[in-house]
Amino acid sequence: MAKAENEILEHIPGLRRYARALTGNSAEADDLVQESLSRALTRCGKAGEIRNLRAYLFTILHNAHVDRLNERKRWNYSIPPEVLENQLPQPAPQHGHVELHDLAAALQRLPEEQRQAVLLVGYEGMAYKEAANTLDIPIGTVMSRLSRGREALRRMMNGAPMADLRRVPQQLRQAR
Amino acid sequence: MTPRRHDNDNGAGPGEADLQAYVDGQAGGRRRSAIEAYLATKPGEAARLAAYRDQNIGLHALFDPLIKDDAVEMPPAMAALVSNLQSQLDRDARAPRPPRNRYRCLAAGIAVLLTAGAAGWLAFDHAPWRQDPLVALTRQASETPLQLASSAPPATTTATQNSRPKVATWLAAQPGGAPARLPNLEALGFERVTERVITTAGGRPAAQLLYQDDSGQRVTLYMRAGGTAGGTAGQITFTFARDGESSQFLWEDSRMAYSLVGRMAQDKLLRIAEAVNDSLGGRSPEQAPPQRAAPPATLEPAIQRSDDKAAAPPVESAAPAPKIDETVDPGIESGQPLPLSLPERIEVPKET
Repeated sequence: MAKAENEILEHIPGLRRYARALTGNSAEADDLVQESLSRALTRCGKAGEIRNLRAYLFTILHNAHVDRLNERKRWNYSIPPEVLENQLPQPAPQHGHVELHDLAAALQRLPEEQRQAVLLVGYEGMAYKEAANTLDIPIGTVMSRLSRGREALRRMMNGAPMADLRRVPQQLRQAR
Repeated sequence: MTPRRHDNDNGAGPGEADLQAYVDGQAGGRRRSAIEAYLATKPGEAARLAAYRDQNIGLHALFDPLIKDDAVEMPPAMAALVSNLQSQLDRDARAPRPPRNRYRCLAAGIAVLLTAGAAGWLAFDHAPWRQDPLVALTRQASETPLQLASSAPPATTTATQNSRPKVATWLAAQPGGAPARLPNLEALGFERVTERVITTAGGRPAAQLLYQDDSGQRVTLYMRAGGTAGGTAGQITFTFARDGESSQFLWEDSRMAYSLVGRMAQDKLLRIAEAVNDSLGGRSPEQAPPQRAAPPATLEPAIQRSDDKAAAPPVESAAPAPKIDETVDPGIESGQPLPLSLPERIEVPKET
């Protein structure tokens, strides 16, 4: 009965989707997912302790991502053109809806930690508590990153000056 | 931060955390009403939050299409890892674990229905907004189509005369007022397939309407009594929530609360939600007048008292509220005769 909850396969699309949104690169994203699965495999001695498989997998993926960021010290985040091209045939969004290009460009310029919060909550639909668990930060920190990230996105999409929004990946705190 | 559910909503307006929670559909019902009342007086804030919601929608529009391709082309190395990890987990799962909570059964059932999106559903275990009566209503959104799948007629069979009056009867009996007609979505290519009155997870009745288009795409609309408490100055705010692959828009007007659920792009679902709202005689935020006479609806209306005429529906074509016994089989297609006939204008929506 509880079986479906423990189906890794169920979580793979979500993981890949998040990784892709996070890294902005599909090859990188799949590599990240595979590394995460490998990490999970080596830790699986504690599998009985996993209460929420999705949060568990996302946490591992997040940590793997942060580790990579720290190794490289800089991260080339970009939305691949095919992502944007995929959107072109779609009907124009109705009143006030975001321009996808603007959103993609703004997301690209968002500080890494804010991007994580925005994606986990706004895209993956995680509850704040789950996002906090995944990122291993207090829920208040999730909220403030989310709030700042969203406002930054909004201002960027409104063409406001973004002097204070340069990417500062080295400020990432290792989530452990 | 999760909204404090026992606030009296006195004093200061909602904090930033509350507003964010509102954007994400994580604000509880009472808090949500307070926030909407607050937003009605702060157009700038309302616009800001609408922009945030649009960001969420835009993110899905950006990245969702890719994952459908991914689902069929998982790299072999990844598939192997998944398989290995799964067998490890399965070995571990042999050890008996105490049942966590009652939602597991539900979640397991849903997983049959949802494919990759099941993950999102499981997040409900920790979501504070499951407490929200409106969201609690939508929690059934994925469950009830499961039942419908076995009992619903195929797309070619539209709502039967047998089932049609049920929802109309129920709507007409709502003391807080209800739309006089069921939403017509034919302009968007959606035809009503099934309708019935169900009992929500909270034990309260709600109308469930299933629409389907030519391609077989389905959306489910839920309507339950209890609109915006105190009236929110005519502002209709669509709150977006995501539950696995199901997208939901939640909103309330002065009469009822609504939830529209479908597995489709958020933009499209929002258009349908707006069409539903228009069809119900609601107003879009742009057209909203500054003030609107709203009946004193509460979050827990005395819907069982169907003969309560004190709060007659403010619908222009309001029919006399017929007496029906809500306790009689609200959810099952039992074939019982209807308690009474209905005014024709309600019984036969003119779109058909």
